[in-house]
Amino acid sequence: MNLFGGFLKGGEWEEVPGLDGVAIYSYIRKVDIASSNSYIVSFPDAIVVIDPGGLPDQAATLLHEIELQRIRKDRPVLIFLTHVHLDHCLSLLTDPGFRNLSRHLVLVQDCGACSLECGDRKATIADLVELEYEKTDVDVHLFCGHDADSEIMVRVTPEGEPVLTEPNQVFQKIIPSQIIRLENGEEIEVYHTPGHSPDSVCIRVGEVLFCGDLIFATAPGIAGLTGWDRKQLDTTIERVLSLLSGEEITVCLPGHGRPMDTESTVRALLAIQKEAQGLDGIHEINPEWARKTALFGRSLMSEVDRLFTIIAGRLVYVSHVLEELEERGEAARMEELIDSGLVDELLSDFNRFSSDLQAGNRQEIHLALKAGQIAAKLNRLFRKDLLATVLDLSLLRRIERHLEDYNVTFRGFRPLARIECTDITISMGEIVVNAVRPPYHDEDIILAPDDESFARALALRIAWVNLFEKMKFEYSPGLSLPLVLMDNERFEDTVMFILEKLSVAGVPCINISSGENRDGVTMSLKGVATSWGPLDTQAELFARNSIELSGGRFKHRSSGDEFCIELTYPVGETGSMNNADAGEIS
Amino acid sequence: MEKTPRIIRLSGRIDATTAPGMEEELSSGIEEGTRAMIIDLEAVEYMSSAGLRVLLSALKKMRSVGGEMRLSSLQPHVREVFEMTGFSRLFTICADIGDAQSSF
Repeated sequence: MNLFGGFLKGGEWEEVPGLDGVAIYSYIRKVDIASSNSYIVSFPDAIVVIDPGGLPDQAATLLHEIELQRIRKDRPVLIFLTHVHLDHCLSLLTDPGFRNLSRHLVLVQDCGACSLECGDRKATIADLVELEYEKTDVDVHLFCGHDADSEIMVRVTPEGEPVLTEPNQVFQKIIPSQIIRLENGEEIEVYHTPGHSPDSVCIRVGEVLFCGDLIFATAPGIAGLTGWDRKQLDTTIERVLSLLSGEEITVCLPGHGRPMDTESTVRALLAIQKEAQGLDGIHEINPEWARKTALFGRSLMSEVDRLFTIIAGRLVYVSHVLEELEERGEAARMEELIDSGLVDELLSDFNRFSSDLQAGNRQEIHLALKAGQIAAKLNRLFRKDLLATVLDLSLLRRIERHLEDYNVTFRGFRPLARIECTDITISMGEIVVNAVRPPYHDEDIILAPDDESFARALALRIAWVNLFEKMKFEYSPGLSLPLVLMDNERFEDTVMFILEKLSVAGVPCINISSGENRDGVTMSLKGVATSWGPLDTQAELFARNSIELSGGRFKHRSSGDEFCIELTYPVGETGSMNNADAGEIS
Repeated sequence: MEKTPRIIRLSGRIDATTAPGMEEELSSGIEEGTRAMIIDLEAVEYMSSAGLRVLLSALKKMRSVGGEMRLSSLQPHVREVFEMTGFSRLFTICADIGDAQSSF
């Protein structure tokens, strides 16, 4: 047996564990939504293909291997789909090699088969990935009517054509299943495992279980796809866990990624089952979701990019100044606080992806997924505890929040806002004071008990950049204003963002005032813009979304050089609420 | 050794992908004897921390050989990065090439 680390290696013919004389060719890809893994199983009487995938090169490889197998012994080809999402079956529907393949049968779970036959673009996620395909007939509708727990025999005519017997009822199993029996007695057992999609199936051959996308069923951007069903998923996982608790299955071959042993599959399924419990009410992953999420992702990532550049750049700056002061130890520590090279690469990668989308080479769902991947990686690199020893907490808190917001949105939920009754005039007053207050005390350096404390105090001092040196604040809070309903932290972070933008745009003076009107309480930021304008389009979109997430409304008016940014919040009584009533992301 | 400032014009995005090329260009300029350099950033639309590192490294090299460097024509995004990171304190930043030339 040609095994690699206990699993099938892929890319070559290997014996199927548990079956003598049956070989498997695994086409294993990295995990993405362009195409699934594909598998070919060579039985003495038939060649079985599981999920032809979605890429032309992959199809060509599979067809070449099928041809070689048929040269050795001519046999019919049985094509199974673990489900009808296009990443698993586009080649079957569009590739000329597959469409013209001689003597083959396509076997698909009944509702998936119906979706292919009527060209249902939602069920195949064609609407989401914006791909075209023709309606396609399916030879065998598995689990049709009362066919669960039954057996179908595949015979081959003298002309080499495969023919099927009527399903025979067999005893009931742990999971609704159908057995496809080949002439020499070999069997392919198909289990109906809905949840990821209504037509999802797992397929057993010998000790191998082809489990489709079951182990990705709760992944962000996957959970919530059309037909996704949490309750059915829960039942399916229970059933598959029971199946795996026997000793018949030793290898699980997922629809994406590397083969897994039974133990790790069980662990993954238990984790998925737990995760699925928190996914009730998840947003449906549809083209509208992809559009909004991609837009939100692009806006957030642009701001995350800016903040990471500021953080990494400021660390380089502090490190340089410390070196000049011959504080080499602390200078080196600055360089180690974040892997800025990797952060840079990730952000460049996202930018390239985003440019590809604008050039029409990518779909919005791809950008939404890419932003999810990048946000997760950045989150792992971001060590707020370490960075907080030297950098401005406001910057760090914002990065943390943006990454979390994207993660939550990508997950299919709305970002959490803590909407509470707040005195907006006090809140704004604190922002104005804190904006120009250094985060250190002069005594920290003087009273430093040792060299290390001295170096840290020095680093903190160097790292603070007063962004408002050249911008004057004039704050006139309205008197006796009512409390408003808002998420105070989000409000503070967004106002800081706006003030930073105004300051670096060279606005010399900002006049802040507040007053009550029929919509609630409005905080107005007025000033005279320079030639750049106070906020560019991207910054305005970001500020608008952020203010809406904090429970308010954003308005930007200009008249000649003068501008006025108005942030309006509804008047509240007392107490707090969640963000169910906060504005939608626009 | 050059006496009139050498102008190096950079363009596009300066990030992890393009920074190494920029470093090579700046270093070779200094190694070839340039002691007065203007880096024109008018066509630079984006600069990441990798770009900042390269500029700082060039500044250090230039200073170590007694030379001088100016940055000119920073676009809003790049200016913002310089302001917010503290880099604007390290470099002499000029409004345009003319200002940069007359500053030597």
